[in-house]
Amino acid sequence: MSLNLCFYFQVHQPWRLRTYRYAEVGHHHDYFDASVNSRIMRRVADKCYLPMNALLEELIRRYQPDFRVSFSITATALQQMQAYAPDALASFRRLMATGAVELLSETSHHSLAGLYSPREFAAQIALHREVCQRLLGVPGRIFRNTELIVSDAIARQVAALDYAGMCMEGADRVLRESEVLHPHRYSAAPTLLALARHYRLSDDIAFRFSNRGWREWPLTAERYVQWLENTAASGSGERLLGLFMDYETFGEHQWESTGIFDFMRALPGAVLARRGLRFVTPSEALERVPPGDAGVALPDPVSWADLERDTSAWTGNRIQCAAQRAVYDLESKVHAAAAGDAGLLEDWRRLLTSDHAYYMCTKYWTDGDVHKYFSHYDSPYDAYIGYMNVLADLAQRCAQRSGMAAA
Amino acid sequence: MLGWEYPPLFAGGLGKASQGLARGLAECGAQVRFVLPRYPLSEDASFLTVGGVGAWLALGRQWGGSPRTTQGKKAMPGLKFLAVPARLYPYQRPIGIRVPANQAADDARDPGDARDLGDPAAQLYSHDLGRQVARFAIRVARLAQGIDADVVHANDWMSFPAAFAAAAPRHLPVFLHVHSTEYDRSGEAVNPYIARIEQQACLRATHVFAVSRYTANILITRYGVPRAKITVVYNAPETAVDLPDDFHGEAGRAPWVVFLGRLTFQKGPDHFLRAVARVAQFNRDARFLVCGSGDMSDGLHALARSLGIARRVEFRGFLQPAAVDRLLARSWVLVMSSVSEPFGLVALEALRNGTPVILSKQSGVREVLGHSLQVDFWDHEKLADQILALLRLPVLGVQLVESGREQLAQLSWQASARKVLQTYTRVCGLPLPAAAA
Repeated sequence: MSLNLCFYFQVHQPWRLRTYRYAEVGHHHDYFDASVNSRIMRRVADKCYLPMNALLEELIRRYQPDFRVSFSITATALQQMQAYAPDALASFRRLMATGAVELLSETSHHSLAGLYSPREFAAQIALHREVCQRLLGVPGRIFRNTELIVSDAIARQVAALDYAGMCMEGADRVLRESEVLHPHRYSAAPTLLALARHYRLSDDIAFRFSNRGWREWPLTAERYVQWLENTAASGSGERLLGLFMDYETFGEHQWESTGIFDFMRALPGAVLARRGLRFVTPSEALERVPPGDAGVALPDPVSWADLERDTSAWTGNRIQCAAQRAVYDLESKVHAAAAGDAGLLEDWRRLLTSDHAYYMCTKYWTDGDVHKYFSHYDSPYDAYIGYMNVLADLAQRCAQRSGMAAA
Repeated sequence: MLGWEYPPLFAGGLGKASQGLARGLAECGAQVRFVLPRYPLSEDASFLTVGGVGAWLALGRQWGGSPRTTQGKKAMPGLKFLAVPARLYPYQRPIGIRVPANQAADDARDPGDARDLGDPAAQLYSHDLGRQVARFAIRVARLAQGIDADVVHANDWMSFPAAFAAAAPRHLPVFLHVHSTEYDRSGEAVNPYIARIEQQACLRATHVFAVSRYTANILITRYGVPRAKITVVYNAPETAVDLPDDFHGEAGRAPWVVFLGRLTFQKGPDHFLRAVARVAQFNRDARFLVCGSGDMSDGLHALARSLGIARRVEFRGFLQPAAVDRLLARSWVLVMSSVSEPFGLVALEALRNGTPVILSKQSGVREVLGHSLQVDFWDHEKLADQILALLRLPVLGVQLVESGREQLAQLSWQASARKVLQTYTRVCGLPLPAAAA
């Protein structure tokens, strides 16, 4: 009877837009804010990617071969590392070379294509594999969709691409607490196994760790391992514990001064000292842990965002829906015009990145919270206006190219 | 309570806010007597009697009697207020003040002024405002001998001298309600006489209410009023007009971009024109409506011509309240480009008519209306961009109206009045009327 701890870290950075006025439509085709994007990438590389990669590499070597983790890294993040922080990219390569790291598959541009366009969804998954292969290594047979958005329809699409497993949020409304500790077949695609995120134990690290108002603060590795043991003791046989979180948790969301690095430095030793606790990658987890009996049916999408754990952070209001509709309406025009305008397809794809929709979220706008923290806009409405201005220019580029092709 | 404006005679922002507050207090069970410079004596609501100081004086002895007996109603364990509405004109630079005036030239009457368009408020604010303020204070002082109240509460500087006169004989606590400051009305070119009244009154008062954090900050930074002595009490919207279930913004509306307010420095109509000149380059259908009157009227006509948009701008002059509602209900967007706006009730009027608003960041209303487009008044490029977006993306307007109205539903005059009553209690230890507890 053992609990298989499966760490998966998400690495992503969007191409943030610069202030783009309607008056520029037809004149300027540069949409992205190089100075903001490079500044943020540099900051995150220095505070998170470089120190945390170094720490993980050290731990992997010290406990070889028992400490194992997995990553999913978007193509937009890899592109920005290439441009603005090549040292971070090199350090991820070193980490991959340890052999103790599994790379997951996802959409290249961290998009919501899974909800809007099967064709673009498949194209971005292929593109992501290609970019990973070129810069980092080959992803395995486990898929994770943007923000863990999963539904029956998405499960079917992913299964058709021959993946063995797909990560999902262990949301209460979908899985009972005991079920979260086993892979489950997606009802809509029984060849595909769901790897559930244990949100409580994941968020203890990702969100609550530095919260001084939290009863458990300050959290030590010893105490955390005690919780893991309690979880292990609550059942029998091989089980799985999905600890999925944003990689920026380490050093960016939780600053170094909170002790998050020290916590992670102490964790593997404390875990490996216990019988019945071990680290696995997602693929290894599927080999070791037998799937549960029940299938997971997801008529409505589930995600790891907010308390709702649905898609309302990206498609919860009128302007978000209108913006997504507008950008996907351009899909065929972009493809038709792409041959004549090399940057067009990539520009369009960068606009598909879910972060742009997230900046338009208004559900907690007046309370001021995590959504504000992640946005460089004055308001969700300004985010929408800037985005739609850029789309107007993109649409004009498409029209010009098709006009030229016709002539 | 003292004040300077009261509807329906004077329907400016100050009058509406004074009435909303007085009615809210009365609804909470406080006995409110509102004293204005001139107003027919009338009962505006139960527990709320409004009248000019002359009318109150004529009532003579009755004022001094207990309100319980004069009204013949059962004892009300609430507060009694002396409301003296002095006439404060927050929405226009006071004209013709003869006390050391420093602005005679700008304030000369101009032909486009409200007086020529039948705005009754203009009559009240013309002539010698300084003398009117003093005269009001003197007459209130005569009334004061018989005033039996717990609190004196005055609305804006014109009634501040009267407030202290009213409070003097019985050493009543004085609460001042600042709807606007001289710095809002005049920028840096303040009338030192008015600024001094505001400053000294606020420093001397028992406590001060400000209509927004924005205004509170002006009182702190300009007048040195201690932060602890100020409580922010937001204005509230009138009852909302119901929107149709299938509200989608466009129905029955024309692409009108509206400025609505006095044509004065404070309201920034020139910034509106400079922004819409940019809009005009990209949108052929939009028309730009300037509604209001004031000392900048001539200059704005000239500005529209020099910006090359004279044919697309309509100057509609001063509008009566019913006409305002009709206009807003047919318009596409209301722009509040104020240089300094203590609150901005017009934004709430637009939303109740289903019209989205763009708010100056130099305003108080933005503090209660996060669901709005906001812009610095001087950022014409961004303002133009926001107007263009609303014109070409109707879904944006629909969402702003829906979410904005939900937010406004949280505000009410009764809630604001409750906060006022709780502050009386906190500051002076007065008992609360039951409805405010």
